Amino acid sequence: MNEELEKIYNLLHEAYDLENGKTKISLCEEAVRLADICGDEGVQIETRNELTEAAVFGGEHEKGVVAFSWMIQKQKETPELINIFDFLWKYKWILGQIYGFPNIPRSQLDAIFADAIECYTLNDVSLRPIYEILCYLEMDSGNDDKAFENYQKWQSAPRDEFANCLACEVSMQVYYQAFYENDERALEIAKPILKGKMKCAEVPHATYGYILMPLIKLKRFDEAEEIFNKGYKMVSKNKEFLGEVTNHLRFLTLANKTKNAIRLFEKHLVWALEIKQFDERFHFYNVAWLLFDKLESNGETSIKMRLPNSFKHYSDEGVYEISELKAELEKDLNVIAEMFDKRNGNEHFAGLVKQNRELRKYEFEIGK
Amino acid sequence: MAHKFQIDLLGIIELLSEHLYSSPQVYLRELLQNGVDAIQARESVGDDFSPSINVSVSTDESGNLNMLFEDSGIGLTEDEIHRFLSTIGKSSKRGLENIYDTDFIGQFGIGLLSCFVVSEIVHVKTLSAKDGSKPIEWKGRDDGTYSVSEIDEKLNVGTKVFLNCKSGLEEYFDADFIKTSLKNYGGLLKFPIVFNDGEIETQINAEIPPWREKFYTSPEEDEAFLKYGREIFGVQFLDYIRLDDDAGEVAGVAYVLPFSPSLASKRTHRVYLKNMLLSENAEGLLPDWAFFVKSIVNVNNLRPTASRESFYEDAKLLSTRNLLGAKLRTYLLDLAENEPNKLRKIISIHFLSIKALAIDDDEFFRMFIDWMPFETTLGWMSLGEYKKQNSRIAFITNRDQFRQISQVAASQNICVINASYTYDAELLYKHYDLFREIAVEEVTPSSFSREFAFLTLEEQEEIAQFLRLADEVLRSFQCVADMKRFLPTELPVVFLADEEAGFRRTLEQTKQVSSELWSSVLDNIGLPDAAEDSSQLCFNFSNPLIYKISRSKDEHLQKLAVKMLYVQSLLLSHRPLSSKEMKMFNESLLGMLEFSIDIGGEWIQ
Repeated sequence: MNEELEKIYNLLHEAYDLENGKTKISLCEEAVRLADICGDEGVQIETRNELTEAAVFGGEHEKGVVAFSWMIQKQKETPELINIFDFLWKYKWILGQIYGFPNIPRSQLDAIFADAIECYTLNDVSLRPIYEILCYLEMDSGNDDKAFENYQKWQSAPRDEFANCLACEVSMQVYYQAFYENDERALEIAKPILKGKMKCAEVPHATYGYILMPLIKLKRFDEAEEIFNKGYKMVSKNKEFLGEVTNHLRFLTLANKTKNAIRLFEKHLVWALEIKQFDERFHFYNVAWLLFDKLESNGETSIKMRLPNSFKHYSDEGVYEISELKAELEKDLNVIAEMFDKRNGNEHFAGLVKQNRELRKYEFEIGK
Repeated sequence: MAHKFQIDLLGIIELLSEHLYSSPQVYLRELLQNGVDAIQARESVGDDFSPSINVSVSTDESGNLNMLFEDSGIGLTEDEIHRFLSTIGKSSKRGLENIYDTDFIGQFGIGLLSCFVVSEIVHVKTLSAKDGSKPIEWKGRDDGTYSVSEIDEKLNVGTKVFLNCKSGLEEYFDADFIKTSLKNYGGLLKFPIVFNDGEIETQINAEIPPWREKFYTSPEEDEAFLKYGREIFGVQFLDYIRLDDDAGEVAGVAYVLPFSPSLASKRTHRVYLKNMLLSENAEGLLPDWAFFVKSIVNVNNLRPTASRESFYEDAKLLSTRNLLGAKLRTYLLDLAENEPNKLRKIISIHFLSIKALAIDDDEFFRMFIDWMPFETTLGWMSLGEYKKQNSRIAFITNRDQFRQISQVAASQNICVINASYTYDAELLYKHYDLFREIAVEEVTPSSFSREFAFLTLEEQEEIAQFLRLADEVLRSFQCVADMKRFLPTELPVVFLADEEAGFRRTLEQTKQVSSELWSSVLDNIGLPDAAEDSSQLCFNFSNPLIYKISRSKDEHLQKLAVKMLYVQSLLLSHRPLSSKEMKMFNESLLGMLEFSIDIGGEWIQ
C-alpha cells in the first residue's frame, strides 16, 4: 500500500514541477488511475483535484469536467471529505468551460448553474464569479440583453475571496467591451494591464488578444503589431490559449502577413482538432477561412503546409488546394454553427460565419 | 535652527522597512550605495582624489554602540541637503514606487532614511567638492525634526554619517556582521572599503574576483574560478563559463550545477549593479532555458526595479539576456566540438535545459539533438544511437499508452520512443521539420497493433466464431476483439486504448457513480462520432492457451475465458475496474471454478 501511495505522490510531485500542458495532464491522469486502484478516498480526491486543475489550465477541459463531476458526486455524498474552498473555486472553472460543448442542452446548463449557485449560497459566498461566467455564456450564445443583465449583476455583486483576481476581472471587462465594439472604452480599461500594473498567470496574455481588433478598427496598426509581437509568444505554447492564438491569427491575416499566418495555422491546427469545446474550434476555423480567402484573392491557388495527420484532408505531400480547404472549413463551420444554434434556439453562430466574411474591410498594411 | 519635516517620517520609515527592504541590515547597503554614488559623482567631475570608504564602530562611555560611515565622495551643499529633503517629501506623497527614478541627491536622502530603522538620530557632516563650499551639518531625528547648519570644523571633501544603535538592534552593529554585510554588498567594488572595529583595520574587499585577474595557465584559471564559486555558493560546480562582454558592461561567471534543478524552480542569480550587490536572487537576467547554471554577474547599464531585486524588462535587459544566452550556447557548442566527455557528463544531468534551448534554436538543435537521451521500449538511449538502429523515428506521446505497448514492443525488438516527457514530442516534430529525409511517426496503441502479424485466411476462418463471440461479450465495455500473432508468446492478450478510448473509459466509469444530471452531461461531452473510439483487446494466436480456447467448441467456456482475460488485461495495464467490470469478473471467476469442478468432479468423488 505504501509503495502505491509513494508512486502516486511521485507522479503528483513530478506533475507539480511541470508547466501546464499535455505532459502534466497525463501524469495526473496516471495518478488518478492508481488512486482508483488503491481505493483510498482521500487520495482519489486529491489526485482528481490536481487533474482538474492541470486539465483546465492545459486546455483539455473535457478531462477536467469528468474529474470534477466525480468530485461533485463525492461532495454530495461525503461533504466532510471535501475541502470546500478548493471545491467552490474549481466549480467556477468548470462552469466557465461547460457551455463550449454544444451537445449539452441549455436545460442541463441551467441545472448545473442552479446547482453551483446553491452551493455558493449555502456557503455564504458571493455569486460575483458566477454572474461573470453567465455573462460570457449569454454573450457567446447571442443573448445580448441577458449578457448585459448578468454584466450588471457581476459588477454589483460584492467581491470576496472567491472572486477572480482583479487582473482577470479587468481583462474580462476589456473582452466584454471589445466584444460589443466599444473599442475606445476597451482600450481605456486595458491601460493598467498594458502598463504592467496588473498581471497574473493569464493576464496580460489573454488581454493582448482581446485588444487587437479594437486597435485595428481604430487604425492604430503599429500598436497592434507591438501587441502581436509581445502577445503571441505568451500564448503559443499552451493549448489553453487557442482562443488567443485565433485573435493573433486574425491580426496576421488582416495585416496581410500571410506567410506568418500560414505558419500559425500549421502549428495550431492540431489544437483546434483536438479541442472538444467546439466554439473554440469554430472561431479558429472562421479565421482560417478568412486567411484562405485572402490568399485566394492574392491570386494563390494552392499552398504547401505540414498539417497534422489527424486532419481529415491530410495529404502526405503537403500540398493543399485553397478552394478545397475553404470549402471544407465552410462545411465544418456550418455543422458546428448548427449544433450551437440548435442548442441556443437562435441563429447566432450562423450569423458569426457571415460577419466573419465582412472583416476583410479592416485589412491594412503596416507602415503604409 | 530646528526644522520640522513636512512629511510623515515615521510612516515612511515603516514603509521602507516593511515593503522595500527585506531586513534592517539593508541600512548598510544603502549607506554603501550612497558612498559609492558620491565617489562616482566626484570621479565624473574629474577631481583628483583617492576614493575610499571607511567604516568604524565604537562603544561610548555609557556602553552605546556608535558607527561612523565615511566616504571621500563629492559631498553635499546646504542646497542639496534641502533638495533631498524635498525628494523625501515627494516620495511620501507619491508612494515609494518611483523613488529610484530620482537623481543622485534624491536617492541619497532615501538611503539615509533607511538608517532610522536602526538609529534614532542620523547625524551627517559633509563638505562638498564644489568651489567655495562650507562644511555643513545635518541632524535628523526619527520624531521628524531636523536641523541644518554650517559648522566651524575642518573637514575633508566627502561625507560622514554617525549613527547610534537603537537598543535591541545591537546585532546589526556587531563587527563581524558589518564586515560580512559590507563584503556581501561591496565585495566587488574597485576602491578600498576599510573597516575598523576600534583595534584592527581591515580592507574587506582586498580579494578581487577571478574575472578581473590575469591568468597565465588554464589550470590556474580553472582553479581560481571554481574556488570562487565554492566560496560564494558553497557548491563544488562541474564547470564554469565566463560571461564578460567586450564593451565592459557585463562581467561575471556562470557555474554549471552538479545536480539537476527542478523545472519549476525560479532561476535566480547573484547580480551586482555597478559592482554593488543588487540581489542574491535576481530573476530574468539569463534566458529561461539556462536553468543549468548559477551565476554571478556584474552589469553596468541596467535599471533596477523599486525593490532593487530585479531589473525592468526593457530593451537593454533583453539584449543583455541575449548576450549571456549566447555565451552559454557557445560554451555548449565548444564542448561538443572539443570536449565530448565533459559534454556527455553535463548532458546526463542537464539534458532538459539543453532540450529547452534546442526547441527555440535551429542551429543548436542540429548540433545537439543526437546527443539527447530518450526513453524507448528498449531502454534509455541517445537519439543518435536510436537513429543508427532505426530508419524512422516512432514515438508515443502518452505515458499510459507507452506502458501498454512497451512489453510487446520490447519482445519484438521494436524501438518506440516514450515522448511523454517535457519537450520530447516537440523536439521530434522539429526533427522532421529540419531533417525531412528521416520519417517521424507518432504511433498509438492501435496503429502499433496493426503491425502485428496477421493470421492466414484459413486461421481467420477458424477463429471467426470466437472473435464474434468475444465482440459480443466486450461490446458493452466499448471494446472490440482482434486476433494477431505477437511476442512474447507467454502473453495471451493485450489491452490497447488510444487516447480517445482511454478518455471514454474514464468517462464511462465516472458516469456509473454520477447523479442523473451529470451522467447525461458527461454523455453529451463525448463527440457525436465517438463510436470509433473503442479500446481493443488483442488476443495472441501464438499463445498456446489462446490457440486452444479460440478453437474450442464450448462457447460457455470461451465466454468465461474472454471475460476473465479482459479483466486480467485491464489489471495488467494498471487500470481501475468499474463496478460493472468488477461484477463481471466475480461472476466469471465463480463460473470458471464451477466449470473446473464439473470437469474434475469424478476425480473428487
